[in-house]
Amino acid sequence: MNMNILEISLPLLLEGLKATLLISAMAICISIFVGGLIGGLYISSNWLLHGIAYLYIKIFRNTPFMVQVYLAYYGLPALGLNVDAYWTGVIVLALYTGAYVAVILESGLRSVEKGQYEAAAALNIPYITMLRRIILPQIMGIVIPPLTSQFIMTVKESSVLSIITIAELTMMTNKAIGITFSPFEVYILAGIMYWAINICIERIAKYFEKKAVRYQA
Amino acid sequence: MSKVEAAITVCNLEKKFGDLVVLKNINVKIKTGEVVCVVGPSGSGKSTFLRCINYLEKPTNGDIVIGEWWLRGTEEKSGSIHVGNEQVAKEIRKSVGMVFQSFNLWPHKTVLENVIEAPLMVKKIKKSEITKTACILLEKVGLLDRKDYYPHQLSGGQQQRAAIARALAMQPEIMLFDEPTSALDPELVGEVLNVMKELAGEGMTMVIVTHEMGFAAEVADNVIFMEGGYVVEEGSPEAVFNHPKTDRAKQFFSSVL
Repeated sequence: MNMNILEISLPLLLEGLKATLLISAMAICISIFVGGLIGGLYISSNWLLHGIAYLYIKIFRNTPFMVQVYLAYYGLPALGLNVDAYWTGVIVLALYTGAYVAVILESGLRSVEKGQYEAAAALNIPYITMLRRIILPQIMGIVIPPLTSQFIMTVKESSVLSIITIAELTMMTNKAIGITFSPFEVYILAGIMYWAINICIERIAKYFEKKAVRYQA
Repeated sequence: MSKVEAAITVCNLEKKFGDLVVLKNINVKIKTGEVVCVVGPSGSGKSTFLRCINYLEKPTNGDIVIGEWWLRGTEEKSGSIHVGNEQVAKEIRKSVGMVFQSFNLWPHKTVLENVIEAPLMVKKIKKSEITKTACILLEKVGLLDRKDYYPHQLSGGQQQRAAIARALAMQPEIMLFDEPTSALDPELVGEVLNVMKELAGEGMTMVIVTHEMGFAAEVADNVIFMEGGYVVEEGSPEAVFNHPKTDRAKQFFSSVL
């Protein structure tokens, strides 16, 4: 690689990497809360609560992320809500990921035998305590692998946010290409950076997964 | 809960799943300290009856009175009376422990952690204190040396004994057993029944759904025979097993005894 290309593009890409890391981390954290809430509503026997979760999942899971981003970016100001592009991007990415997290958690919750809930109920253990201490620890081994895939997707999908002027890794990559006219080299560099983030996510997730299933050994 | 003559009174209990009536016109009185075995063919409503007592199943009609607490059928019309059932169930569960056919131990917790979980989380007892009590209970069911094992490392009989200790840790006055030995290898049945016999000997009020007729004959003060959602026979083990009044009970006991 021409040293000049590296010299010009690396600072730009590192700046983009920082933004991508921050956006993804925030979106993933928010999506866990959103997904937990929606997943909890989804298994509710109350038809209204279930309905809300159902609708949420149907909308966010079955439309392209790019369409959601555009709709929010152009739609919110039209509705009089002036959210800047950055936060629009973070929130939409979180809501989109949250729909998948909800479905993953829901299938995990359903995988636990009814008797596990009943044993807790018969002992008067409060519902939230039961979820936190009895049910969730049991489903971690089941939900962490699909959640990992989902969070990796989130990092990759964050590249779409370049279309609404967010200076994340993909946008900075295009900027660097505009200066250096060397798409091949710069894209390789960007690819390596996305790859590195996701390898880290995989490693962290593996650690938690191993910890979660240790009791089965 | 005050020590009253009748620990559990069940009046006109009815349970429907949709249109299917699984319990009909059940009237049972269980006295404090009594051991009652509920027997009968599969699908006769034995387990459903037992599960109504601590409100794991919601009775559709009739009443269940335990101590000062009164559960009402969910379909009963008179005003708002059934609104409090969830709250009443919480009170009832404080003094009623339950043991399940499939043990339902929490697999991610050790035997000791299973036993101390509810006292820790519900009664907010100090960990050091409840651990001591738990060890005494585990000693009693013969599992003290297995306290740090996970459920999957134990045999079925050991798991069920751990489940009994878990229920006892909440210091119940009544214990419900839902076919506690049905999921066990034949040679492991005895160890669980022995623990139950010991409990009965200590004066625990027990309601036991079981297919172990020999055990019922030995331990029960009263036997209830159920068939098709009804209580068909009720009385001392001797009377119910040896001199059943109905043909259905005669037929059942002639094939199982």
